[in-house]
Order: sequence, then C-alpha cells, then structure tokens
Amino acid sequence: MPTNTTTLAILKDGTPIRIHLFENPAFDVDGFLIQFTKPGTQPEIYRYHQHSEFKGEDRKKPDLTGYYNESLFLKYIQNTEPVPTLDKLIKHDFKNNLAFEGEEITVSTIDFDSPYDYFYNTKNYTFNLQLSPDKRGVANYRKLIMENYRIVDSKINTDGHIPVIVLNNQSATPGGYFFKKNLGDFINNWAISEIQKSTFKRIMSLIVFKIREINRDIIPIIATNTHFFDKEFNVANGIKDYNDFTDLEKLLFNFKRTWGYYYDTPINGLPRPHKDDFEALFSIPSTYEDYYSYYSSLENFYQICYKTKNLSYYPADDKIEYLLKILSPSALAVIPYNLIIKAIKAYFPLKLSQEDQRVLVKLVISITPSHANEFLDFLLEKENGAETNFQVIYDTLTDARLERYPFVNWFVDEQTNRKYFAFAIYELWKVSKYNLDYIRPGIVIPNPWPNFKGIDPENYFYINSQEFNKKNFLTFIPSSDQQIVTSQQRFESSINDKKIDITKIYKQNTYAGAFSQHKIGSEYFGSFHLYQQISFCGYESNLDLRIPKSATLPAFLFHFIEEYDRLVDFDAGVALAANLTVDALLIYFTGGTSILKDLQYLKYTTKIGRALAGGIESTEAIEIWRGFRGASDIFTLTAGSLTQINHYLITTENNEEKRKILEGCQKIFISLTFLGVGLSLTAQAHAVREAGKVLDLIEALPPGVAHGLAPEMINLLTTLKGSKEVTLSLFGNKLNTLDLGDATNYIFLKYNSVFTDAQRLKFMTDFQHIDDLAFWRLLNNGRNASGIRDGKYLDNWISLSERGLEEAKFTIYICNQTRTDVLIRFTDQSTLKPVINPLSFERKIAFLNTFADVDPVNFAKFVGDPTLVKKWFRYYDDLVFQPEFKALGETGMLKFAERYGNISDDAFRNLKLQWHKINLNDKFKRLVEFPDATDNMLYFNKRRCEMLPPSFGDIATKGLYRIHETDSFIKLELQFNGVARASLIDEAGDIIMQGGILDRMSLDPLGIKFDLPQKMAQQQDINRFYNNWLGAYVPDQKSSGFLGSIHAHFEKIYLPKNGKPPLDYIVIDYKYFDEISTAIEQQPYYLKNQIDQFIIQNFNQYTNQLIKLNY
Amino acid sequence: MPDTKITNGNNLGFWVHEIYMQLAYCYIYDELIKPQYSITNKDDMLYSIQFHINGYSTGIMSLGWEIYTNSQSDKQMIISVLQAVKTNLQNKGAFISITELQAIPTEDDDFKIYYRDPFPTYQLIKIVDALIEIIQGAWTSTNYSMDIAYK
Repeated sequence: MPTNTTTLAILKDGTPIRIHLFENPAFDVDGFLIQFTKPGTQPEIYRYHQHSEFKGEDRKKPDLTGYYNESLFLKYIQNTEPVPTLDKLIKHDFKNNLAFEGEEITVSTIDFDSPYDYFYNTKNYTFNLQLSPDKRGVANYRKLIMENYRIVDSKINTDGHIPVIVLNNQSATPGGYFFKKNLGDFINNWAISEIQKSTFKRIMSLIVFKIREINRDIIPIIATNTHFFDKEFNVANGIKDYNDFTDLEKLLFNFKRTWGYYYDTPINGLPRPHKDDFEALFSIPSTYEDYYSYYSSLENFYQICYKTKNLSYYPADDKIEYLLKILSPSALAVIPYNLIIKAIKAYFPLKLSQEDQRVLVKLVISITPSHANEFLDFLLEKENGAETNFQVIYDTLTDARLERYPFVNWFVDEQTNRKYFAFAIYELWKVSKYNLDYIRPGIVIPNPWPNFKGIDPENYFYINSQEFNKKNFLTFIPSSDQQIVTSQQRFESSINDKKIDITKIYKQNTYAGAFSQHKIGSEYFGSFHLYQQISFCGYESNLDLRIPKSATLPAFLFHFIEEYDRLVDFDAGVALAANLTVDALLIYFTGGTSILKDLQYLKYTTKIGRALAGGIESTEAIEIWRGFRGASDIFTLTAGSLTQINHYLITTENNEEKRKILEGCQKIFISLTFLGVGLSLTAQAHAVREAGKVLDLIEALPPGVAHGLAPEMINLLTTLKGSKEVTLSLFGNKLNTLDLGDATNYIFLKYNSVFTDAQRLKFMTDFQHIDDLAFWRLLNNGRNASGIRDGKYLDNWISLSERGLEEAKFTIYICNQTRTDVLIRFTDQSTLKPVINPLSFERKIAFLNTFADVDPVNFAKFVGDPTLVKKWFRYYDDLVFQPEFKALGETGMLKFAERYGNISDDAFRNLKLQWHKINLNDKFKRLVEFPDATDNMLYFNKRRCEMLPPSFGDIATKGLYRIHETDSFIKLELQFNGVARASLIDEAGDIIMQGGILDRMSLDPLGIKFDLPQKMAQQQDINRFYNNWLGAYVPDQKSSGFLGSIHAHFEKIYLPKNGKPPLDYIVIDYKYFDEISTAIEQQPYYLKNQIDQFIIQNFNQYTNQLIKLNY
Repeated sequence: MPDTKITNGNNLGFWVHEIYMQLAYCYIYDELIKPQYSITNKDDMLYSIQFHINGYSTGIMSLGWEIYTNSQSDKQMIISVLQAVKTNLQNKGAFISITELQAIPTEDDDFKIYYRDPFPTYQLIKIVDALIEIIQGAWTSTNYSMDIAYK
C-alpha cells in the first residue's frame, strides 16, 4: 500500500475528495484511496470494502461498496458478539469532503513500465480538477477498462497529464529480493512485447504488496502464543536448528523464507543455508496464469485469515489443522508440500466423516504440478505395508453424491469425493513422468517421426517398458439398434495392488423367433499399471460430452469411470476418447491425422516400433505381418533391416513422385505398428491396399528415376500385395455361400462384378467379422423405388464408403435411404463435411434426423455458415432448452441459433434461470419476437439475451422490459460506449449507464413499439388510430398519447416522482418514425419534424437533457 | 415496464406502472360499454381504452380523458362508471383469479406473461379511487407514486 502526501485523493468510484482532515491515507497501486484514519481521542480506521466482501445474505442489497469503519466491519464479518447487523455498519459519507473545481491533486501510481527487472518507481501526476461534462460538479476520474464490452478493470483517468517519475529503489528489501528472484532475473530474456512485460511486472508487484500485507496483518495472528518471533532469526542465522521449530513455526518460517525475508548476500566462508538463497516460485517457463494464480492464493489466504474470529487464540496444532481445513485448494498452495503429505497421512488409519473426507480430498487437490511425480510415487507406496496409498485413500472416500463442495469450481453439480480424488490425480498425472504424451518444457526430442512428437527420455514407461502392457486397446461395441441382432462388448475393472485388472464382457442377442439366442461371457483382458495409458474405441458416448482432447487416459481413471459409469459428469478435459465411435486408424485414414499424436507412444511400446527406432538387437527377427491364412502366412524382417527402413521413412523427399512413395510406405508402417495392438483387420486391409498403391507408383516412376527403397522393403510390399488376391477370393467365397433364403444374393453379385479391388478390400474390412445371417439378409434387402429388391443398400455402402464416411459401416445408415441421402447432402458440402464428420454417433443421428427434409433455404444457411451446426447443438444438446428449442420448428430453430448461438456462457445460464413467474419459455418467446437487428447485429443479439431477468429485469414490477425499450437501451450503449443496468427502486429512469460519457446517468427512453406501423397499416381508419396514438398536449389542459408521454417524461426532470431523484436524460427513440409517417400517407420525415417542433415549442429549456436515438 | 403519469390534463395526478393501469382499463371498459352509460363521444372513449388494453400505447400510456369530461353530466357519468367498477371489484373478493386474468381479451402477449398470480383486488381499487378523485377534482398531488403490491 503506497502512501502519498497530497491533500486530495480519488475514491475508488472516481470521486475526488479532500483528505486533509484524515490521517494515514493508503492507496492501491493505481492510486485510488483504500484506507484512511479519522483522528480523535479514539481514532477510527476506515477501509474500502467491495460488494463481494459482505456476507452472502446481505449481498442482495444494492450499493454496499464503500469505505467502512473497520473495527465494526471486522466484528460484522467475524461474527463477534454483539454482531453488528448491516445497517449498524458505519459507511463514511464523503458529501462534506468533496473537492472543488480547480483544486490541485497529485495522484501517485506504481510505474509498471521499463525497466521491467526493477522494483519499483512511482509515477506522480499533478493536475487541477476539472468540471464534469454536465457542469454539475467536479468530474469523475474513474476510467473503466473494457474488453469485449465488459468492464475488466478501472484506473484513474490521468489522460493528457505527464507524470513525474519518482525513484523508490527497493532492491535491498525482502520484496525486492523476491521480485528479482521470481521475475527480475529473467523477464528480459522473454521474447514478449513491452505491454506483456508490463503486465507481468504489475502482477508481480501486486504479489509483493500482498505478501507485505500478510506479513504485517496475518503472520502475527498465526504466531500468537508461539516462540516464532524469538526463534526465526536465530534459525535463519544458523544459531538454532530448524527442527527446534514446532510444525506451526516451520510453516511460518517457510512462508517467510520463500518470500525473501531471511535472504542476505552470501558471505565467503560463512555458509548460512537459510539466508544465502531461497527457493524460486517462478522461473522462465512460468506463465501469467501461474503468477495470477499465486496472487489469488495470497489474496484468499489473507481474506480468510483476516475474517476468522479469534484465530490468534487457537492452539498451535489446531491452527495448522484449521488452516488446512479453511483454506481453499489454491490458498493451500502456499503451504509446504511435506506438511501437506504429513496431514494426508494423518487421515490414513481413520474412518472419516464426510467433512474430513472433504478436507482430505482438498489436500490432494492442493498438490501443485511441481510435485506431481513425487506425489504419484507416494501413492504407489504402502504406508501400512499392505495396500498402496492410492487404494487406501480411494477406499477411504465414499460416495456422497448429494454433497456439495464450494471450494472447487470445476464442477457445477453434486459430486463425490472419489471423483474429486480421481480428477485431482489425473490433473497431476497429465504433467507427470507417467504420461507418455507429456514432454517436459525444454526437452528436445531428436529425429521425431512424421506426425509423432516423440517421447520424454525420462518417461517412466519408456525406461521401464516391461511394465507397459501394450495390449491396451479396448474395443467397445455399443448395443446396436438393429431389430434382429444386438451385440455388445464392454470392460470391467478392479484395483489390484499397483495395477488395474480389466475383464472383457461380451453379449450377443439374436431375435429370430424360435431361433433366438442369447450369448454372454467374460474373459480376463489384461492387467495395467495404475498410471499406464489405455486407449478406447467404440465407447458409447453421451450427448452431453464434448469433443475429446485426447485419445488415451490412465488406467486408474478408466477404473473410476467404469466403476461409476458417470463419464458424463466429467468435464471435457476428462471426456477423452469416449466420443470415438470408430477405431483410431479409420479416423486417421479419413483425414484425422491429429489422432496420431495421441497414439504416438505405440512407436515406443510395440516391438516393431522399437525395432524401427533401433532399440532392439539387429539380428532379432521381428514379426511384422500375420496374414489371413494363419501361422503359414507370417512375414518377418530383422530388427536391423527395420532400422534401415526407418532411415528411409524419416527422410525428406522433394521429388513429388518419390514423396508419394515415401508417404505410402509411412502409412504402411503406421498400419503395421497398429497390428501389434489388436487392430488387425483394419490395419491389415490398409497395409495391403497401400502396398498395392506404392508398387503402382514405383512402376509409374519416369525412366531413370530410382525408387531408393531397400530390397527388404520391396520384398515386404510384394508380399503384402500378393496377400490381397488370396484374401479377396476367400472372402468372396464366403459371401457366395451366405444363406439368404429365397432372395437373389445381391451382395455377392455386386462384390464380384461391381466393386473394384479397393472396394472389395474395404468391404471386407468393414464386414468380415460379422457372421450373423440376419445382418446379411438385411444388407441384401435394399429395394428400388418400385419396391423390387435390387441390392440398393450395397450402392449406399459404395456411396458412403467412397466418400470416406465411417457411416458406411453402419446398417443404421446404409439400410435407411433417407438417412443415407441426407448424410451425403450435408457431407458433400466442403464447408460442412469437417463440421458434420467429427460429430459423435448419437449427435450425428440426432442432427440428420432433424434435418432429414431440410428445405433449400435453410440448407443454404448451413452451407453459408457452418458454425450454425455448433450453434444449433448448443441449444439442442442442453436438455433444459431442448423441448422449447425443438418446439420452434426447423426454421425457428435455425433463426434462433443464428441469432443467439454465440452468446456468452453467462447469458446462456441466465436464460435458464426463473425469475418470479418469468420462465425459460417466456424468454424464448421474447427472443424470437425481437425484430431482426439492422446494425451491430452481434451486439444486439448478445445484449438482448443478457438484458433478461434475473440479471436484468424491471425491479419495480418484476416484469420484462418491453422489446422496443430493450432495443433502445442497447442502442444507447452503442452510441455512448457504456453498459446499462436496470435502475433500482430509488433511482430515476429505466436504466443507469455505467461507463462511457454518460457514466452513472439515469436515462428513460420512449419510442415506438416495433409492430406499431404494421398494426397501423392494418386499421380500417388509419387516421383515427394515428391520432389516438399521437394524442395531444396543451399545458395544464390536455396530455395524452405520445405527445402527453413526452411531457410526462420531461416532468421527470423538473417534477420528479415522489421518492426519486430528478431524471438525468430523457431519450426519444426515432426508430419507426418514417414508417408511421408513410402509413398516414405523409413524407417519411413528417413525424420527425412534428415531434422536433413540438419539443422546441414546449420544452426548449430542457433540450440539453434530451437524447435523440436513431435520429 | 414503463410507468405512466395519470392526470386529467393538468399536472395533478399520480405515477403508476402501465401494466397496472392497463388492467384497470380492462375493468373500466367492461363497465363503460354497458348501454346504461350515456356519454358524449362514448365510442371514442371506448376506442381509446381498448387501444391501451391491446398494448398499442406501451411506453406512452396516459389517461387522456379531458375531452370526455368537459361537461358536468359526462363527468358525473364517468364517476358513476368508476364507482360501479369499484363495486364490481369489491364483489370479486380479495383476489382476481389467474383464470380470469388470463381470459382478458388483449392483443398484448406481455400482459398474459405478467398476470400469472392472483391479483389483489384492493390494489386495483386504489387506482380506481384515485381516478375518481382526479375526475372529481379532489386530487391534489403532482407527483404521487402509487406503489402496487403485486408479486
């Protein structure tokens, strides 16, 4: 808290005041006054408190923010008897302290500009106070900082004034040491802009000031009844041993040591371990979020300790326990890791209450990423000699589904302790040595594969590859909705020491009358290290899940998800691969190259991958191919050959033809690598197909151009190609012998005489594993328009397959003509294909069913704006909105999505909230009813959503503002660069403007309802309608209609309503004036002129308080 | 929702939110339309009231009865209408039911959205009483704000 000696100061709301009667004024880094003392026999401290600092039940009251008697405020917030109620708090009224025009003020702010490694200078601005624009008093000096139409911060308006820089070098203070160690030493090495550097300097300065406040106000409270202050410097100087401290004293010492309080320049020959250096909290890889998060932790720590009654009298152990219990996970981040672990262990032997479970989970959540490896290792240890710490904690936590935990904001609904635990461990795992996808910042991987980013050399499973179970592809088969056959395959898991055991469960039901069959079985699938990655395909996704960010997840998390079957509750970051309804390789071959980065570990965990990388004895024979004919059809290469081939694969090829050959070979080896993990069908088919293509390319090389491939590679290509002929014949034979009843076998006919070789191979890949006759009969049952069987469904398969659409594999598509057609219609559009294709199975079906018969105009909207799909899903996916949304019909939904698909999350949530009797249905109707905005459409639509209750409602009537009023408010915001809020009961007008040139002004618009011109035009007697609307005004005689209303509005200025202040501005919205004029067969400007004339005649003296909108 | 100042031409009157005045107009219309009330320009007066009920005057509502209360007899007749409205309201009991509120014919959708709770009859009678005083010339305030306790 810097201080200055000025006799004037600026309050946080921007009002300049005189402070010559106050003592000890304190200012924030931006120069606003935040504290002062009123002198007297019993001096009183007044401190600035924001709305959010008041008790929850009081926060619904307006205008709480202000400067309060601190002694009373503390009693209020700490509930110290007798607890003052809100109305007993003393808020300082500055009306007798207001400054005057022309008085000189000096504002002192912290200088965050260059030099960025220096702490710190101040910037002093001296100027004379000016009058406000309306000349009613001294100007307001608060300048709002806006981003995306939201107020993000404020500063003192010093525009146009030149500062004087005052040096205030603090480099030899604890704050200066801390600043240098944690920012100053490296900020100038960062390649970031000057503005960004200034932002870092600002947050670091705030951190230092906050630490000083904690040291001043909080540490003494915690240290009461300890010997900390007697011991601290003796320990720091090495005179006393650190272990002479109690745990609480250690806690305090660690705080202060980290903050630079014991640091001193090292002296040669006299090592002082606690003084010569201290641990840096930030370093070159730190981000702004890291700094900001630490600042928030300090702020939380301060606030919570400050608010806690009698904290100083707590016994020492209770203080530690209490601090652990009360502090939020982010505030716990300031407590040393070893104390956290000690506290976690203390819970182990106990059966815990829900309250204690919450504390335990919170402690786990508070572990910072820098301790990720250490903590994950700790979980694998066995404190009790029998079970891993992971299992002990996991079993300790119970499923309290209805509990609510305010300390974590990641989830919005009721959660379980185990879920928090699993999530917290997952967060740590992501940045640990156990995650094959995580490469520590600064680690450079030599020679990475194409599409593969490589692997950290210190990765646990890279070093201990024997602990990695490479058979880790879990292929789920969701229950299909075919009427005749349903099959299902899923996995169950259990914890077994340091591993997760996974069992495969499969089920097949055939419904065919007397021949119905129901098969179910299970088999052991494998055992996986708790932290090993496993991959999914086919996991039945939930509509609420969003796009996955990763295709793998650690085994312990899989166990958690399986156990709870509550994947839907996890946030998108944990949703992972659950959306994948086709296998990863198919995604890759249909254009999803990004999938490979998630599967890159295969290169390091499969034998073929390790051989390619040169990690296996060169003479060892590696099986790289097992064909369709079983053991007689195996192809091997030596590891040495594979290493040679790898050199070829990672070369850069500039020749276009040769580059295609190289890419083909790379694809083959990606396929072959997958062979080791259970994707044999797809992988084999792709390897075979690519081999044929590569050989064709080699054959087509111009004379004289050498292909450059090793003989082993050519040998492999030839083997793969030869395998194709045999394979296709075998499969064709199978098709020809299908028992399809009396029907002609169109499947074999088309396979044999219509399909190309590539199509045959693909067809085989898609359907080879199906033995069920009911499936084949359904596939054979496609008919033409006349109802005659003609193998139409096979044509559908070709159509979808040739387009590279995964849906070709599903009878729910190819055996449904409408669905096939609409899928093609959408995906044939180059703009829509990338949007439609990634949709999950269920969401895609929902979308295509809804728009199966989409009319051409609406279809064109999708083509023109592919984001409309996402916007549509935003409302469709939300189960609260869905019924109302669907009720709008096709065109209504699209119009709604076009307008409101992009609104902020806050506005989206606001829409759902009921306010008195105003419900979602009403809000939907309201939003539909708005006429199309004609300018600033994005802003209008956004604000129309935001200007709905409860965030924006008419407080006086508990009703909605009218449509045309709302639009007038929005237009005012645009025109005057402010943000409107609804007026409170004791304020004038409909709205109060915040920010901009009308800051804090009350405004009351009047205008024309948007449908009035249309209504008028429909009248039999238009003039009668018009005259009735226009009304009349004769002073003291007549006042009706629009003219009477103008009079009433001006009255609000000079004869305000009882209990309200005078209105600042009346606003006349001229929108639709032209249309009204035209409706009464006058020139468009007729009404405008009439009204202007009327105002000049009757209210000319108030025109400086009149705003004309849409004029 | 906007408020409106209800006056009979001069500055004397009271402020009330339009949505409540709109409801009062509904009951005044129902009574005024009865044949026993003979007023000069009655047709115009009904037209003007219906204009308000249908929400055409949203944001600019007023009373505008100066031209219907020029003669003493018309003025007396309108007072009779208002007194009958008051009696009708009193006979409804403490509250006007939601069913009745929702059945009121109006083109204004917002009106139907708003009246979803039983309306306390007394609050409406306050408005009618004030109107009677204004027409009688007994009303003295220029800026009285009539608070309606609803919701």
